[in-house]
Amino acid sequence: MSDSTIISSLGLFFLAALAEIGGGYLVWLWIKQKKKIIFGIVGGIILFTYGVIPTLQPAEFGRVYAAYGGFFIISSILWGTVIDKKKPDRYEIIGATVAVIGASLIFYAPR
Amino acid sequence: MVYETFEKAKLFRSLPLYRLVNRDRISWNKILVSIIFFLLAGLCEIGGGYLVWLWLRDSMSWMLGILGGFVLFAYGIVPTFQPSHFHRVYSAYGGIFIVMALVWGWLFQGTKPDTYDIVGASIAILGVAIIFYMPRKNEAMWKDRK
Repeated sequence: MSDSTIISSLGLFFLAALAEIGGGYLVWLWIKQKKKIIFGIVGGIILFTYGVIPTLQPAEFGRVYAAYGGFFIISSILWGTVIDKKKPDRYEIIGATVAVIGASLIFYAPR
Repeated sequence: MVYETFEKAKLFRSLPLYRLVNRDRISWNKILVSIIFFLLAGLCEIGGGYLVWLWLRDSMSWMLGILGGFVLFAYGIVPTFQPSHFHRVYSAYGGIFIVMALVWGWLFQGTKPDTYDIVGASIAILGVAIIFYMPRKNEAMWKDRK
């Protein structure tokens, strides 16, 4: 992959995480916090948009998606901290660190 | 139900894991149910995404795209069945996602997982298991057994 495809790929991952977590959060608010149905509908539309993003990725993304999983774990915990005001507890920090080590091994392994 | 079957086996009761889990009053049934929901979410995400892909990349009917949208909406609903915090459910799901990405690459792009993939994915699963299944006091997941 050239530099520009890597950069656009990273940008798309960022967008994907935002849409996936943000859309899921709105649906969560609708069902769990009994917010208005409009939250659920907007969340559903954002999740649909999330489904469009991978179609914009270059064809060979293979293991890069595994790395996205690690990125997703960190993003979810940050979302909880910033939006939900729920500080990660000890096990969330330890577990997330372990999981990211695993994802990095997949991505950075010398092949 | 599943738990009781296991509980009858003496060997199972002697496992350190069983004792640890029993002491902390974790419900095996709840763990099993949560895993099923994680897998179901993964299925909805891949299935919905694939339907959208068929519409946009393989120029099939837009109706598949709409259907994909509904499946992705369902993907947003499934995690709400998990008795935990939003960020904990989603971060744990990230581990499932890693495994799915490797299986997907294997089935559809022909990239067979190598040793690094398998070790890395196992470490990632261990990590998200710590995030999700470590018993915390006064939380729905751990309140009552069975």
